[in-house]
Amino acid sequence: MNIQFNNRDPVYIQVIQHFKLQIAKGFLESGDVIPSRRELASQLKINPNTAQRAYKEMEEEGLIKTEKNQPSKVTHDQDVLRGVRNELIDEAVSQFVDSVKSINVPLEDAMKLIETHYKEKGDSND
Amino acid sequence: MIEVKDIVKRFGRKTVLDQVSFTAEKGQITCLIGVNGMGKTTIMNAIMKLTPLQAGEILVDGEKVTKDTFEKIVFIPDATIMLPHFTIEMAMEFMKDFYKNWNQRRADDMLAFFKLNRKDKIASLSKGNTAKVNLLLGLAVDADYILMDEPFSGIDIFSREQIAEVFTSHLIEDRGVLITTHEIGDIEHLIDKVVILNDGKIQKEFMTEDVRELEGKSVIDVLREVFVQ
Amino acid sequence: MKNFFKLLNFELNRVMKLLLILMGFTFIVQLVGVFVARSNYLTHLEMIQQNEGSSVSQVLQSIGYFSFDRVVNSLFFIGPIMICVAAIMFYIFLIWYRDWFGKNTFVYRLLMLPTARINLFFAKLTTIVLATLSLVGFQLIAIQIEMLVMKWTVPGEYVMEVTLRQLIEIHPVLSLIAPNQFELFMSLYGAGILTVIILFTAILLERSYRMKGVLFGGTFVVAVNLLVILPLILNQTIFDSFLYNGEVLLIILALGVIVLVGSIWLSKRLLDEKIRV
Repeated sequence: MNIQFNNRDPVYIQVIQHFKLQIAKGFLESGDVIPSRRELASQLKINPNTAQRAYKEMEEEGLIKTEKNQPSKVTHDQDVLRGVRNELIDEAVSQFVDSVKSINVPLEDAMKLIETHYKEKGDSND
Repeated sequence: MIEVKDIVKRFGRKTVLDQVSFTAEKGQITCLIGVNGMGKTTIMNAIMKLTPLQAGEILVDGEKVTKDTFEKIVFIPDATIMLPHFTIEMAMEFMKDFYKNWNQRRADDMLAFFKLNRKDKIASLSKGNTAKVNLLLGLAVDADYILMDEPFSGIDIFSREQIAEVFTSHLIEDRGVLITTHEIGDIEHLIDKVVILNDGKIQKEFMTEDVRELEGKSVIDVLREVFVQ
Repeated sequence: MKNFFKLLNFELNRVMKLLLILMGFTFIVQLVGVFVARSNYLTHLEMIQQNEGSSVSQVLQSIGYFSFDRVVNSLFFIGPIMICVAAIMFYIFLIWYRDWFGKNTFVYRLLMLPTARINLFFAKLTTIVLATLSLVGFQLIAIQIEMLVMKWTVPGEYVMEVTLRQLIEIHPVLSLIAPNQFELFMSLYGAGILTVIILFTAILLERSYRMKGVLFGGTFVVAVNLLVILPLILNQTIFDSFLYNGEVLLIILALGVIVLVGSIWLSKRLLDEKIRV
């Protein structure tokens, strides 16, 4: 696991984003055990407090579950997991739309461009 | 909590610390940043009663610093403070002799992590390894607070990485850490709180995640605002 | 208390090498002194015997017995003692300053130990006292060995044996470092220890206030010295020997105790509140 952090967004939000991405890509599935806070901190080279905060937020969002004396796991709730995927896609598309709209690209042209680029890149995900 | 309250320090006519106040919380990494001058080191020395102050006071967990405080607060200066002819082993023995809170298992762990040889003489070590021994001797005391003066300055990049790794490990967890630095780069993601010292005064004291979240700024952005004005 | 002994042990280890070197040096040079004195004597002896073919008693009449005081009055004997004295004087300063100077500022470590800082003071003081006593003790043993060597190497009929006690009585340096009377021993070493304490306080004044501290330290040393001998001066001038010597001594003793307590108190304050790394 490795994240290139940027310095201007809160680190804990970047950590959450990272987990959501893993879930959306299917690398993390429901019920998977995720690293402990301490492990995560040392893997990502971040402050244990930050890891703690990211986990707390994810717990509140229902993304992960921690039962007493058990390692944290990705939630079994399929709705939440689907929600994550949709949220990410939604975010990406809305970002894309914002930027093409700002340079006045008509919808049709934008759609065509998407199609070309999508095919060019093949099905490699990442 | 370490509370620094209105401390004033003058060297001759020069005022190095002018009504400096800030706090460093347990369980957090607080970073004291200043571009130059001796203010930062002087603060650390003052906390450890290694230099007298003209005014103000310093409290650790609400109490003045006495000999007993030294069991719960350790200072790791940027110079070696062991006898040069000592081996690492002898240095550890020395610490074990005097500190009730010395944790040999932790010391051994760090010895292995840093790949240090206990039979090596301290005088024979490289600058990076000397810094690691310093760190080891400080962190192996089960203290609540750790002060580190410029732990990253003047050492090679790999030693720096190794030392930064210590900050994300159980060696630091739950303790209060106060470190000084003049370059934030390496550790921007590691720290909870920043205290900016300039011209002997505290310019700003803030939580790093707060300025990122509320103002969308990096620590460097804030530093730029303070220093470039 | 436990920490005091740990610190003492630590300081003793640090001074051990120096002590062993001083002892070895002293013993070797003094032994050379024995042989030089012996060969001087024997050369004399031969000359007389060759010239006159005299009997033992005649020889003894002209050049005397060979006794150990021929050795103790030579530079070979007194020189090493002087060097040891100088070394101890030097070490009184070194024992503090070396913790500040050099690449490794060990004083950080010492001052941050979870123990009362005055323990450093007492450990260093005790180290000086023990180092001095062990040098003196070694000297007394060395003299016995040197006397034995002398006895073996000079024909017995020319040797006059003296006891250590007699030797000390007649010798100005030895009577000073190892006086025969208990009271004298106590007062000499008491004054010595007080001197070391005063010097330590002066050193700590310098370490706390640096340049200004040199002035403070110097003033302190002069002031306490004046204070202690003041009764003597006053009695001989203003009071015109109103008091007996014994009474003056008693007052001096009392003042000495006051200076001792005051000096330690000041040192403790300096170490706790004013010291700088």
